[in-house]
Amino acid sequence: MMDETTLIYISVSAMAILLVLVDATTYGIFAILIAVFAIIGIFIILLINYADFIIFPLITRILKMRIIPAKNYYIPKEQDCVIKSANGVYYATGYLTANLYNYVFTSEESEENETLLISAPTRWERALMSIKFPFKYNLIVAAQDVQSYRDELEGKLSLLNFKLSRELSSGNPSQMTIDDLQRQIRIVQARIDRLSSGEKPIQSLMYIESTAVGVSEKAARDALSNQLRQIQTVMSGFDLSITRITGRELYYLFKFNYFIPASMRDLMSLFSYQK
Amino acid sequence: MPNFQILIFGIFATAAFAFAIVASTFPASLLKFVLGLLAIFFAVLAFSMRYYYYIVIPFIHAKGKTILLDEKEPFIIAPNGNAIIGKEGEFTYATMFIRIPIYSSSTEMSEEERYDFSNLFSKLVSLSKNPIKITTQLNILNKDDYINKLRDKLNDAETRYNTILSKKDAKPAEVERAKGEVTMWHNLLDTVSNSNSLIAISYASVTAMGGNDEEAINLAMQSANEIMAGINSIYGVVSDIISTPELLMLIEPDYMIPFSTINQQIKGVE
Repeated sequence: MMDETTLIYISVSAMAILLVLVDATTYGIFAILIAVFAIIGIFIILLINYADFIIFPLITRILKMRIIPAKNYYIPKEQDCVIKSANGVYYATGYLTANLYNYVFTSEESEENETLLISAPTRWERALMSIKFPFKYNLIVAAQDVQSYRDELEGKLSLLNFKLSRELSSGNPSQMTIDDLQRQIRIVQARIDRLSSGEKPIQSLMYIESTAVGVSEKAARDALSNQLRQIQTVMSGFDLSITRITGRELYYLFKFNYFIPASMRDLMSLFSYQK
Repeated sequence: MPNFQILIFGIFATAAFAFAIVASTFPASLLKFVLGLLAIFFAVLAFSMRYYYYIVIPFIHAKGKTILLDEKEPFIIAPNGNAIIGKEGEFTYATMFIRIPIYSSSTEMSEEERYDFSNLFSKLVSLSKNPIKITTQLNILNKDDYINKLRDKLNDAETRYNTILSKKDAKPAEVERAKGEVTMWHNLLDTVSNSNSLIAISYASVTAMGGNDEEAINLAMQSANEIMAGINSIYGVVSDIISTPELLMLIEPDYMIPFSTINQQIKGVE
């Protein structure tokens, strides 16, 4: 889902390009060329929005540019870690997304949630015990308004029930669609039940951070990659969606080490991976 | 900063529209084509400000292949050592770190207790409507002092052993005991100094914004007190604010991996 701000940015920028595109026929011998460039422009905008973590590191690699986010720190051209050079050694810090949300909150039944919640502390401890290097699991959270979230869920439930009854009353109902809708209804109902039992809805952003040390930048980066791979293996038991963070989001996560934004909305809009 | 983002987006978007409109008034020519291209270029540039506004000015001023976003330290320590302070534009930010002292292990819990523990964690994460960061961290333990104590013990044991050996009437059992003691301290020193020890810390951090350092620190302290009260009542523990030098272990990589343990750390990841 695209947030409102991004939608405004895309609409305004695309409108300027469309203005050129609709006028392309008046460009004479350049008509086809300008139309192609306009389409490329729109394509680049979409690419920046959905895959800037590929484009930005590509540009910094081509230009061989490194970014200094603060004194004693730099982000190398590969844009995959933040490096601190101190006492003649290099400390490389890298980040992984680790959205635990799916682990419990997409369960269809309350009983299923219960089983997961019982096993969670043991699994977490086992995972921590397998890690033999510096590591941080970060969870940025803020409670949401219960009533508005409940209204949203109830609206969703009504819509799903309507879709289900329409499918059931149709001439040729598809069993697959019915099963899928019933599953979705159970998930939403389980969430409503959790709210009724006194739980508060939260907005969250979760990520893993690890730091490796080396006598050169390359040694530190290689050690970091090794550590991040080990974390991915260790955390695989949690059914986490784990991705190594590269590009722009790295800079924000570096800043979150020191200061976190005042609103969850500002924070979430900075991240494409976590949407 | 968002105001700057809107401003710079507005400038590029206006440029894109201006070039597109001017181009539409021209007859077909190379100039019209160039104006059209400029309109497309500025439109793409305008959109890229959604994510990269912070890099535009530093990019223009870049020296060689380095983009300098900030030349200051990422933070300064508050005078009483219990918060970090940073500045962005006119605003000051203060962050405080609150220890979550939970030392029980799930292996000691029954199924019911584990379920309750997970539910308590759900309560912990919904403590505040403002964002809080909850972190579990593994640090390399700085064992310098411990290793020095072990060395002292080993030296004492060796001195005792030599003294006993030098005695003419030393009993074999006494010699054997002193020798055993030396071996014990030797083995302990080898084991401790040849492996990394990790320490786990759980903490919550909260940031507040103010017009100056004092205001930001006071607001952060208010939020921290609320969160501490929540942690204390949920888990029945006494949480506290982490201050220097422990604070640095949470935010600085060179404190996460003490300098004296680097050799072991490099060996460990090979």
